[in-house]
Amino acid sequence: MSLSRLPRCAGIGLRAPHYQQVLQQQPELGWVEVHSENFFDGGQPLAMLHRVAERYPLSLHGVGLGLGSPQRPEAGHLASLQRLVDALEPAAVSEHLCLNHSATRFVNDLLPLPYTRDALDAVSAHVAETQDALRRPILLENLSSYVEYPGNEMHEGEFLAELVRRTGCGILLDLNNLYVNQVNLGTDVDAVIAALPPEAIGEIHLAGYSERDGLLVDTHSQPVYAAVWQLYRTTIARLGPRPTLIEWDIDIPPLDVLCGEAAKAQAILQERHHDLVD
Amino acid sequence: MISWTDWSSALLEAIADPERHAPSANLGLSAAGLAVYRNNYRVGLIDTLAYAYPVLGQLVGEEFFRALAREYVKRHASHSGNLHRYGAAFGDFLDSFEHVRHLPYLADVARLEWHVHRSYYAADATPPDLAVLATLEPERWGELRFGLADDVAVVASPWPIATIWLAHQPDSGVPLPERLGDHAETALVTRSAGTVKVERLDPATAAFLLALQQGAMLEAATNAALQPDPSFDLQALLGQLFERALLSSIQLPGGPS
Repeated sequence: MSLSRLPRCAGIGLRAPHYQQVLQQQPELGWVEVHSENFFDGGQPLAMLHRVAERYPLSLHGVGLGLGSPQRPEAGHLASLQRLVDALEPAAVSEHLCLNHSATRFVNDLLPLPYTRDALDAVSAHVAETQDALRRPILLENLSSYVEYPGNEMHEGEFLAELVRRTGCGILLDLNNLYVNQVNLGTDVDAVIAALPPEAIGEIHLAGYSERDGLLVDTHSQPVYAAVWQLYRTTIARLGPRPTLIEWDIDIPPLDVLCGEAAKAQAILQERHHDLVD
Repeated sequence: MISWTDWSSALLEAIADPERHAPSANLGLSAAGLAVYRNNYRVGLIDTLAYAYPVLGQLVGEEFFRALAREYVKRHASHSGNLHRYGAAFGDFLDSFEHVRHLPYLADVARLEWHVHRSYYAADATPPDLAVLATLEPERWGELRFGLADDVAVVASPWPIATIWLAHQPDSGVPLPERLGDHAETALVTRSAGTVKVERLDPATAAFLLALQQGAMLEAATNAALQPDPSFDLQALLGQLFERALLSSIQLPGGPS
């Protein structure tokens, strides 16, 4: 199965405040993405999602599997995801390359893991186990990070590239995360993107950050900033068009605002499309 | 150099339990970076509780609710990558928390809200197979066990919890009782066409459904209902329960209880 069947155009992250409006008005959107965990237990949210999936290509984006943890993904969580994927047959399934649990502790966040060869062996096994369970490849997303393991043996881009080579997974490239890391940690954005196999990049995320105590925090609470739009332009020029998502999770604006951001991304994708045609 | 697994475990502890796990220098954690994660952890779980317990927030006010939630988060770690399961023990926490002792109904309202929250996410009920009844002689039907559907729950309280809950729903038109201690209530939680509903049960129905929820056999549940109401009509109630799809299983005698 291919890495992603999402169209190479812009979509939005669909959150609870907009479920009804999107179903009623059916705005022109290339596709929508939802957080997988919100639909694990079925019930009313899943009934809604089935209706959405009849109208739009769907991407399931997980925030809880924690494939970069020392422990294997939790069996119950993986089984829930498998049921959801089987029920919806989404165009793409993604997770974060992050740490979130140990044998004794869960932190519901997307924490950076050590980028070492030992970690790579373990994480490759977790990704393979997940893809075997889902019977399809997944996309793995790069993180925004505020701390770093002091003994990293490679950077996140090299780690992701090696995961692609070993497991056949794809990459979800979050440009806001990269930008935030550049400002906070001095991450070399060009080096990270250059390390990624272009054909494995199946999706791009864009979002807005906020500022807290001198750090840029990836809050998904703002429009996409100019510097990130610029990074998006150069990335699309380099890679060609990719399915692109606008994420907004805190202080969620009216649907029009969200669709307006998606239209901006769509315009950049189309510029590039014309370049290709010319 | 600390191993990747030890660093990972230490980072998780330093975020979730800052009072007991001051990070050691060899983790290489910046104070500002760690503060972002500690804040995310605390605020994320408090927001999760606020989402699951909206009536409680109205009853005590947002600021006090968040202070309560903060205390709960200190005592109750998350155990799942799925946040919708966080907060199940909030009612029990309120029972034991001395600063809300003057609001004795709060814990039962919390237990009701948890069931409302779970009902919304519960799987759709599949109706039980009535054909199994034909395999049993009618004189043994008293030994059957009926299971409530996943979106159904019964919560009993010495306080008018259903009325309190209803009074805090927009446009319900239900006024708050003037004196909260005046009457006990048993609340029924159900979901229909996507909307979770809370209703007050009469004493006989309450006794019957509580007994079913606890796994009692039909005869024992009926006897429980006959105590408050000798004219309890089992057939009429069962008819309603099936019509509203509130039952999801029928267990024959001898099956696992």
